Amino acid sequence: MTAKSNDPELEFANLKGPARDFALFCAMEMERREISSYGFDPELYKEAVKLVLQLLQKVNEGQIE
Amino acid sequence: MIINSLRAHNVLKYARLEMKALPAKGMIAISGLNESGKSSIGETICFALFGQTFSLDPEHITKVIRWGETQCATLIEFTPSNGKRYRLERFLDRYGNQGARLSLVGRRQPIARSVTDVDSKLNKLIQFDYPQFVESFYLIQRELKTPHPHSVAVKTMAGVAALEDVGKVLTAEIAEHKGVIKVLDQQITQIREQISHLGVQAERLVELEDRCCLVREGKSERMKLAERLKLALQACKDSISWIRGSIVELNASLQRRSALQRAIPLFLSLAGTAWGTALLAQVPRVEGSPGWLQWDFLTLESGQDLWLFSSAGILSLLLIGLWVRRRLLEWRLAAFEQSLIEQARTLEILKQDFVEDKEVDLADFGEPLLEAKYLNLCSQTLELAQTYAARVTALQDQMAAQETQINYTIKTLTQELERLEEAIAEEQERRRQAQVLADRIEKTQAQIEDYQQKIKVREYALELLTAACRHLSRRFNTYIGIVAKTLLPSLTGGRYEHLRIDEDLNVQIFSSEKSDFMDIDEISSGTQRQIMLCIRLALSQALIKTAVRGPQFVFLDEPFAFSDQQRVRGAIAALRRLHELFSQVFIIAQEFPEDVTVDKHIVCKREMKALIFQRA
Repeated sequence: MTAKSNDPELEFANLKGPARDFALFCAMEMERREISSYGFDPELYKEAVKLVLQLLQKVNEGQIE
Repeated sequence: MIINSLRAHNVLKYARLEMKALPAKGMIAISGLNESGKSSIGETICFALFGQTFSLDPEHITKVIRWGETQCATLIEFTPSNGKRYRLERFLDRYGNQGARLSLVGRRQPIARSVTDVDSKLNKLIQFDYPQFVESFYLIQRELKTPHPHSVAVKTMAGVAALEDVGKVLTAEIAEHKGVIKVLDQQITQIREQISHLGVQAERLVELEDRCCLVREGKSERMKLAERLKLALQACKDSISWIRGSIVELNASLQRRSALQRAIPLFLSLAGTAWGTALLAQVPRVEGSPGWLQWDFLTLESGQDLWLFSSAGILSLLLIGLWVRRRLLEWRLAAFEQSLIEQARTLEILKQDFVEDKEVDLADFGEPLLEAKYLNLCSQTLELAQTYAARVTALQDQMAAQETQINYTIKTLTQELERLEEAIAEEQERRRQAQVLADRIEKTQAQIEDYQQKIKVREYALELLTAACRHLSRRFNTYIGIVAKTLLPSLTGGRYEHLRIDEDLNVQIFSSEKSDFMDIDEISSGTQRQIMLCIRLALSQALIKTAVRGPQFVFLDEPFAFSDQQRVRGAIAALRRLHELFSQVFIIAQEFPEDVTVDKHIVCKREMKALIFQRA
């Protein structure tokens, strides 16, 4: 998996476990959607990814069970 | 995680179970007949680690206590991937009271004391929990099914459990936001009803203000009219006062003139008589000529002559005085007439604003008075003044009526104005309240839009999570399939080489004989168990790779129950080849082939109440 994100919000270098897997998937998926999806909203996409990563961090820290 | 030793009292079959100095690497075989206590060892390990067993649900965990005893205790020493050696002690009595203590070997101070704290600390140390343990490292004797694809353990191994937890959070937030939006919508509906009840009409305020403006202008005009009317009335009063004074004066003048007129003939008669007598007395002094020609007018010696001339002079002066007086009178009357005309004109102008009655004509006084006969001058002037006074009085009455009418109109307009201003104030207040409510609607709508945006983001995030879960599950299952495929030929004696696993962990085996994939139900029980073992080992491998990241034990309870000797040999050989992955392997079987070598062999017997094993 060589996908890399150009956006700091999607930067996954410091991520671990499910958060890293999710960020990697989203980076690849974003490239795919940018090419294939009509009306793709990158800002909405990034906001959604950022939200999930924040929640994953909370899950990882045990703030969410 | 490697088990170093296990000690138990009154757990299941055994009053005492001791396994000391277990080999960290290698295969530990446990054999014995049915009900000899083989599986009790596995369940004791399970209880010692997690405080529960696969065969007993938490409500009946006290059944783990040996029959007839009141309490049990376990002590297990293990080494997780951090390389340190830990000691975990558990205690359970017949009333369900549990105790646990976790500590580093060689240290008296425990790391955790209560059951909850110990479980939490243990999970962090070994990187897996009880559900993951029973889905991977612990193959239970009766478990013939593939792990449930939706179990938390498998999802955790696949890396989707955390994503699903986040998905649950997002779903809950979406539901919460939708609930909030519903409440906000209701609030907007209520606010709109309040606005509707206020009854604000778009044109009403403008209409009221226009009407108010008109009334105010009307009132202002009438106030000005009333002011002018007041002045006109005052002018009338002044004029009447003046004319009445003039009438009194004229009456007095007329009376004086009448007395003088009566006195003048007598006075003239007396003066004429005196003057005639004086002339007759001069006649004898003129001789030879008619008497009247012989008059010596220049004779001033006689006293009668002096008197005569004096009388004539006085008479002349009197006549002159009378003439002057008449001229003065005429002048005064002319001036009076002029004043009268001017006042009449002024009042005529003033009255034009108020009185429509043309009968009250102040300007038309007929012929100029000065053309009247002198004798009638005063009386006519008096008559004229009285006529004027009567007309002005009539005019004053009409003006007074007019003033009353205007004052009434002003009062009505004032009341109307107050009513309109009050209505405008009420309308403005209604509008202010409506504006406040409209502002609230605007803010509420902004809140709704904010929540809608949040929902949109969360729904998008859910979509991404679903796609990511599908992707990770597929990847995980592919990985499991690859790992299982490498083990399959060894565990099935080379009979089966290919399998495939779908997203729900449903397994299909490729049959070379049928040249097709078969469902797992179509194959024999022994082969099923071998395939399940493959799956378990693959899951274990995944868990080791993703979480444990170190040496790990597995406990396989009769994995070869329905296998022939040849397959058992092949399977054990395959497991040996996996020693880098599974350092410590516990295998239970009723008996092992004689030519199979293991690192340690524990033999269980039915009559044994205590099992004490110590590595030689």
